[in-house]
Amino acid sequence: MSRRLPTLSTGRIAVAGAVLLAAVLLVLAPASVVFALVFLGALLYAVHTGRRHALSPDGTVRAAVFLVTAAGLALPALLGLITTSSQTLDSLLQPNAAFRKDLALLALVVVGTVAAARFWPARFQDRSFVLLMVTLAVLAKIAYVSVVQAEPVSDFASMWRLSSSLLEEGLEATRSGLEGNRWAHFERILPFLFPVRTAFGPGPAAYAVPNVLLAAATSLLTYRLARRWFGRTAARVALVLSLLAVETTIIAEIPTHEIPGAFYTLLALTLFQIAWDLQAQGRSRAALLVGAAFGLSILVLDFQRSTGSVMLLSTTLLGLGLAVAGEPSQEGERPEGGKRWTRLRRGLPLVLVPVLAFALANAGVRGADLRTPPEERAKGAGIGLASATDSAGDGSYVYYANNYLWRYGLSGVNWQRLALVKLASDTHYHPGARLIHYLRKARALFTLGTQTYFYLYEAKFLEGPIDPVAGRIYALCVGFTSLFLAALLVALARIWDLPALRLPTLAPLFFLATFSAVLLLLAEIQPRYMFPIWYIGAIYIGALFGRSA
Amino acid sequence: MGPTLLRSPELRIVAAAAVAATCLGLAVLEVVAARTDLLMLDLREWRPVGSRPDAAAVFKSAQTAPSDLRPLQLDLRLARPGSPSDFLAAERTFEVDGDGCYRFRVYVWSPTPIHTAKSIIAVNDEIAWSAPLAEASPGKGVSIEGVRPRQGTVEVRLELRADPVRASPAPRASPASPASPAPSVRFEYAVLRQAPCGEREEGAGG
Repeated sequence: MSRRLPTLSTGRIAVAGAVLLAAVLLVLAPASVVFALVFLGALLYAVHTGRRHALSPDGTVRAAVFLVTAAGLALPALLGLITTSSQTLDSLLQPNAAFRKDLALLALVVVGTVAAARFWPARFQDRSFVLLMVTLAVLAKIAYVSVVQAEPVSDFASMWRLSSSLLEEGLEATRSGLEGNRWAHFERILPFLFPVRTAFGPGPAAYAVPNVLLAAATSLLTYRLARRWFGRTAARVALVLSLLAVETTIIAEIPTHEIPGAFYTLLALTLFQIAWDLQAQGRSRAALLVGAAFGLSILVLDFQRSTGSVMLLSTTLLGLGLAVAGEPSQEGERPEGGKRWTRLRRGLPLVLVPVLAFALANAGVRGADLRTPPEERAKGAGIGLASATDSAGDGSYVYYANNYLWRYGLSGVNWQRLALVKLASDTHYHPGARLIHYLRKARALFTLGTQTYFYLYEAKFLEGPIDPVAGRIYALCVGFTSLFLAALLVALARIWDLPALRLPTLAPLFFLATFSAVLLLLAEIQPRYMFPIWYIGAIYIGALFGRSA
Repeated sequence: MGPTLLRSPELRIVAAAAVAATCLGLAVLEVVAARTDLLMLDLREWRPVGSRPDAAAVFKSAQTAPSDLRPLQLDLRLARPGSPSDFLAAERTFEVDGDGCYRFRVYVWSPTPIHTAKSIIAVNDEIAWSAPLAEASPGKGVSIEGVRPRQGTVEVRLELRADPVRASPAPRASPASPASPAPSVRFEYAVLRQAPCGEREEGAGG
């Protein structure tokens, strides 16, 4: 019986040889030699493959986003799903049947509303669906936060008190009143919230109701982005998922900056989309104006949630990719311009204008002493790096790490240098542990929803008997998170071949994946930092029901 | 995920480029780490020494185990002292190149500002620095200058010792009192490097 042997290409033989050599050298040689050899092997493979194939700029950008998404978002989300679903299982196995009923009811509501969004009759306008869902969600959430009336704990309580005193004393905008207190800043940027505060007085409703309203506004931005890219059905599904996300309701009980942070994130992404749409339509001047507004919105985001640098980095990189690859003016058309340099010349201004707008506005607010000087910010960043890059971290909530080091207040220490030396030392002693550290932190970062519960209820647990309502809310949080992460993973696996997946549609995904990767590599982590995932993730889950269907 | 993207040459090239960039960065970091004298000391391989037979066990449980991947910090915790002379220490001998002078620098952190214990740093069997835990709380940078190697080695001993004499002026806590916290200290960011010879002295700061 003759069997045909599999053929081996030269490239495969080279890779296999390089892997074998690296494995032998790993035992015999210092680590740097192995790294250098793998580097050479990978580089030769890339060059060899590049010479054999004509590369498409569009495909290269997609491939880069795919890799960042796989490492920064999909893998951590998978680990988070495993962890969270085991907690859900624990909840289900509780002797208290209320957990099972709650989770069953939650699953029923999620499936029912998603089905309603999917099969919404065409004779009814989309607007009526949006109005119905948003109204129902806002009323239910306001009723919930009015009943619960949770008192903020931890730093949120002090943030709220400081904000109240600052605003009630009528202080002018200062660094301590803006950057030092993100809630006060939130109200100054969005002055329409003042009447709400006045109406509800100094109690929890004064921040809970604005939180609910702003979360609904963020869901509307989610709807808009999903509709623009993936169609009405996708948009309806994205809308209901973001409205149903349990954490967006629970976190509204405290004066958090997660909700305004998510709002500014979606606002920036919407402006990015509008700017590139205008560019594709040939309206370059309008595109540049919106691009400048996009840059300013990144600054506002940076004030509110300190994620502006990641937004600027990810959108600038993607913008460069767009400028090189070109963007079809209509769906399915080939990029305009033909030659790469022509496309680059047209697209480059739209890449640079947001960066310039951000930089100029940032310099302006710093000049007006409304922003911490860069050297102080660098000091803080150095401490964060020093505290978080040690592979000692167990990956659970290391939120105390920064405060812990801050308290030591060692004057005269060059923290940035210390952080780099620590990074080099840690990597030198434990190169393999860095990977484990990444995975541990990933698992902890994606236990989404659990930290809100911690802020709201764990402190109360320490003071008195366990509140059974808190346990049920926890079960709902982990239950919804399990469903959401599972759906997101399916979406991340399937979206790449959607005909509607043009390069600008990757901007939210690229931002989220880059943000997650940066957190896991360099920074302190808390699951609530991933809060925008309830909106951005919903867009891509919705895409599964959209134009691909 | 779509087969189109997975089979595309672009993905293979981008993946190879990412691997190459990562390995290049790691190789450079390794070379820098091997050549710099700023590399922090690996604090996992220290010999435990204690005043009681069970001190070693206390040390092992109090010190972060290597399996916890904590190479750059050493935690010492004294079980509530049974006698005033209880101590727990970690010793290590470092081989050094050359006969010049060295500087040993370490940050000492103590979460509890208590007076009933002190931390000690001894170099080559001489006490080079000593202070109550209260002075090392929340943290203190200690720099010991002018360390001369003995036969190509420098021996360092990091110690935590019960010191009830210093309980004054605060009310002296009973050693077994459940209200008094167990003394603990953390040594971190330890560096031993060559430095100009001068008068041997100790100092604190960054």
